[in-house]
Amino acid sequence: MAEAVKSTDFETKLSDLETIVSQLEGELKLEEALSLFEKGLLLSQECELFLKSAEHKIEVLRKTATGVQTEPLEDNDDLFAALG
Amino acid sequence: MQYGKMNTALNLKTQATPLTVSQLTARIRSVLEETFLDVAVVGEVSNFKPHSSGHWYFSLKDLNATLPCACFRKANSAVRFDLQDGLKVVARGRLEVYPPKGGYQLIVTSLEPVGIGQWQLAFDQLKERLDREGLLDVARKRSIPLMPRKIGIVTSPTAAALQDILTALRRRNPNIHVVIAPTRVQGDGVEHEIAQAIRDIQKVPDIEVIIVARGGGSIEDLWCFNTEAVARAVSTSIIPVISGIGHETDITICDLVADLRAPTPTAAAELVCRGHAELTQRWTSLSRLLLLKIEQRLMQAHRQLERLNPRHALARQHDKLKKMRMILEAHREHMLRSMSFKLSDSTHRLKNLENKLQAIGPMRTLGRGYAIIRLADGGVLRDAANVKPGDQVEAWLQKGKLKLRVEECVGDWGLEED
Repeated sequence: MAEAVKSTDFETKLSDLETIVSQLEGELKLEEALSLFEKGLLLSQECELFLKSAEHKIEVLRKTATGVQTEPLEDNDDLFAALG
Repeated sequence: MQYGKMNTALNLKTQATPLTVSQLTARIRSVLEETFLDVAVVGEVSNFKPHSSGHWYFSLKDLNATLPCACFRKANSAVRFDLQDGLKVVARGRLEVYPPKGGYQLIVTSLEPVGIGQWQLAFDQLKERLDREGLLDVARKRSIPLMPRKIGIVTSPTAAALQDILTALRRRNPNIHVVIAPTRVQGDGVEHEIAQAIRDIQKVPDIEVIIVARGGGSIEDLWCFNTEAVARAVSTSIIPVISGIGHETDITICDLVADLRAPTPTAAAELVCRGHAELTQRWTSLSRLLLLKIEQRLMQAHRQLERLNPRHALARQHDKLKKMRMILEAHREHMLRSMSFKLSDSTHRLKNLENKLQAIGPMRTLGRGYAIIRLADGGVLRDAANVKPGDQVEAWLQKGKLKLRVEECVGDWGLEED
């Protein structure tokens, strides 16, 4: 699930992709180039999944007797109700 | 003599019997209090004493005179600035005589600084105080995480500011988890509500940034963000705070104390998403480069192939090229669709690349009547000695394939290999 992907993992993947691209600029056998390209494609797709996954989650903080808790925001009416 | 003077001044009838002190004081009182029911007086504050009851006592002075003043709690709660000795102010109020002491004082109902607005003065005073404590130091400012996954927003749920932020977030980074700490952002004593909301939101796990926001308004409307309560809550936050209050020209104390000041609520949301935008762009350009580099490598391979004996080289490279072409074809559509920038240039080059793959692939050779014989393991058969009768092989023609069984192996053509 996209939510489970940490942004640090994403940044690591992106630098891996960067490394692969720079390796592809060097002198490589065709087989090596191909396998790097495949790795790169996979990383690129994983990055895309992270960037484009739509998990726009909105919650509202509510006070409780013991502290605070968050509740999902269903629509704006909820938001107005949150103020009481 | 003094008595006589007073008589003249107050136009009192000469009396046969002397007045008691109380009687005289009562008359003075009624004259003074009725005459100076509402008076504005300018002077310099001295001997200012805030009492523990919340009342203020001070004197107003000029070169030649002193006026004792009292400003009670109810009246001074509306005074935004700190009263200090030496400050020149206009005090408005009524005179009151205090018979037990034989004195009078001004009961102040409102105070205004002279030469500067009271809002500005209050702002300057708080700013100076916080600055002395080092709370405005640039060195204190923490960096905002490049790509926060979970953020807190402290604002009014009914205000346009929240809608602006949510809209900007949704547009720029659909993958962000938002927790809203609702609070009023305008009205008396509201600064304590805001400060509490800032403290509360820090209790939610994994929040990486807090946005404190409010839409535009007058200086009075924005006043709660110029209070010490909010400034302290922001400066003691364990999570970096972005402040997005009012319009671009509004600067509040909250802005100065925050780790990052955004000119507007929308701009605050954009700052939170800047990493997402940066990394998206980096991903896009890397993916584009990836395609470009493999394309260049394939062209290089093509040039190498041309220099070699075409027949053998073709056979040797056939599998690799075919595999590569399949991968490219499988991913081309997807990658082109997924990249948000204009790719017409790359598309064009990819098309060329495909044409080249076609050209250097075996099809043209097969079209001349040749066939490629492939072994069961996918390898290309070049030497009859590598098979024995009964083996299954596959022949690739220009159109279609044949499954064949070897009948006989003849060692050699009796011709020179090239």
